[in-house]
Amino acid sequence: MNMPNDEKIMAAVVLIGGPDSGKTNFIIRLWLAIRGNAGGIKQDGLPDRLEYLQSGGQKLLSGEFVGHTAHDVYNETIIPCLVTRKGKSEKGHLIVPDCSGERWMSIYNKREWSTQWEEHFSENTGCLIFIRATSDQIISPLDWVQCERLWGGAVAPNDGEKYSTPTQVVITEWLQFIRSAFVKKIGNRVLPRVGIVVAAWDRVPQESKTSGPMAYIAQEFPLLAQFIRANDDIFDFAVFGTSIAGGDFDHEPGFKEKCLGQNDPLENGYVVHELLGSLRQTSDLTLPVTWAMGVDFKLGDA
Amino acid sequence: MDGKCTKTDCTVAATGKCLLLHARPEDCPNYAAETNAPTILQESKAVTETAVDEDIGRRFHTGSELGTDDASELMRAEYATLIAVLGQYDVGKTCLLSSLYLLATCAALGTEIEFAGSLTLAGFEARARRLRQWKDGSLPKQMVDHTILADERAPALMHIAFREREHERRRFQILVTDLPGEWSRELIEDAAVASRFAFLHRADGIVLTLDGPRFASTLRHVEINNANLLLSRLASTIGVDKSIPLVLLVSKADELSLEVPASIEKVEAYAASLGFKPKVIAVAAISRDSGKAQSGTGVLELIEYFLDRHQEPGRLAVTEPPHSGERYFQQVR
Repeated sequence: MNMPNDEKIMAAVVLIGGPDSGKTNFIIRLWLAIRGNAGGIKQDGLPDRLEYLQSGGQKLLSGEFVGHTAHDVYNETIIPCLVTRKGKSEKGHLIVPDCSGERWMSIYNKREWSTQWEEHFSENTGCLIFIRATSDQIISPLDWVQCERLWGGAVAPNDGEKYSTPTQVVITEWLQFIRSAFVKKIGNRVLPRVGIVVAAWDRVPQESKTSGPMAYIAQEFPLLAQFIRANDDIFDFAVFGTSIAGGDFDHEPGFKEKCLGQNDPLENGYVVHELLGSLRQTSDLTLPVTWAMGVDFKLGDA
Repeated sequence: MDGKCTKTDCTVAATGKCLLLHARPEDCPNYAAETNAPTILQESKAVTETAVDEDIGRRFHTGSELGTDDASELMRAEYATLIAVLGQYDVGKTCLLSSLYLLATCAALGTEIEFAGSLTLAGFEARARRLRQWKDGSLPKQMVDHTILADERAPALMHIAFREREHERRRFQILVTDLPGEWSRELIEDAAVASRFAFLHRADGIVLTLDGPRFASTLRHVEINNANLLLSRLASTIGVDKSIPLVLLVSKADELSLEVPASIEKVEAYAASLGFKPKVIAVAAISRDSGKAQSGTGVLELIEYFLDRHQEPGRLAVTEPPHSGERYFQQVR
């Protein structure tokens, strides 16, 4: 980790998610939101190394989503920032490690992670797990119909071929890994803070949007939803829906042109959450990270 | 401009400026024109690259099964309800495990409990897809101590945790044995294999899986004989505590429209004569005819019987109650 000397590591927020889950676009959008100084995290100077953020930022500001992160890329975004903790202003560095979704799938398959990831887990670590709504990389859970056909002989088992593990199973395992690492390193005195982020919330069907991100998780990933509810005593969970720009540059006709005609092409981005017990929306794209850092965060707009 | 440079560190895609100072990026031999290609975020010098072979910081549970030592570690931290599932080959033991898992994945555990975790999720997935089979040939003669990722299926334990949705919100860790049918057959044939079943002394429940359709057929006499012999082995050879709840599970009950064959009564009576207090539960773990019975029928009833959450009156208390100090640390093997 390339940290400036004498600089305080305020927090690490680890982004976790499979391929096409929206992690990289979120980091870039987070950076632009911090630059805007309107959210819970304010800029305190520029990072020493900016190429990664700059390259991605130019894409988003041009009305283009950042594409797939190459498999062997591991990035540590280190942002000097100002936050408020219990009413007091605090300066330090936020570290947001990121890697490709394939790397996280490898962690699931191999049931291990590197010393590099191990070092990130401390009392000051929060996690954000990403699922991108309507992604074709999401693997549906096994259902009764499939099982009945398998066990009834209507279809042969997929013997000898690898099958794709349902997304909810992979995420549940990541959560169990996180819990195991926290307990063994830190003990039970600190609950791991884990946010579940449904990226591309703008692509969720309208009837699901009104129910909120936790209801969406319960509908699409019932095993994961149960795990979240049942383990609220050993994790600190929150569920968010995020939209980078408030719409889809690629699939919504006219949206990109409309954004580029605005003062800020990304000003319609938002986060939905239920941190106050009811569904709310905010324009503060730093909220999931602020929450994961365990510092004061702004709530509301509506 | 639609294109990218294959030269490391060139940021022409973002800046429009060629690292080799070509006036037009398209003139550079490293430049490749692209249309509608996804933009791959260029690595920057700030990116910390890791070697392909990384130091391992932490290893986690294998996810396939739990060995006895793995289970003991769990049991030291929290009481676990150990359910031993016995029965001959192809009676439906794995189907039962798969059905339990499907109930969890589909959030069909009823209104009172919900899924709280499993250290053998990958193992459940593989079994439900009929992919984790016993290897033909010789099988291990004991439960394994630890599981390793690349291991073949071995006699071991499956784990699942439930938590109550309301009231006390108690959490229940459940371990279910995954044993080959051959073990039950071998136990009948040879008392010398009884040592494999030492874990039964720690069990909180025993399931004797009986093939429902066979008990309703002309094969019932053979089945009754085998079941009674197995019960005798449990009672006399192994000497299990008769107060441990015993369930006679009638499998494949969808084929019987959930009717328990009359011949099961003979096994029930024999078990009672040995000192057990058997309960008969008809199960359609994975139904072949949903018109006759829904998949999962009876599975939750089985689990709830062993968890005994409501402490029903008249239930025979286990001589050594669960959650007693000794049973926390009693080894599985």
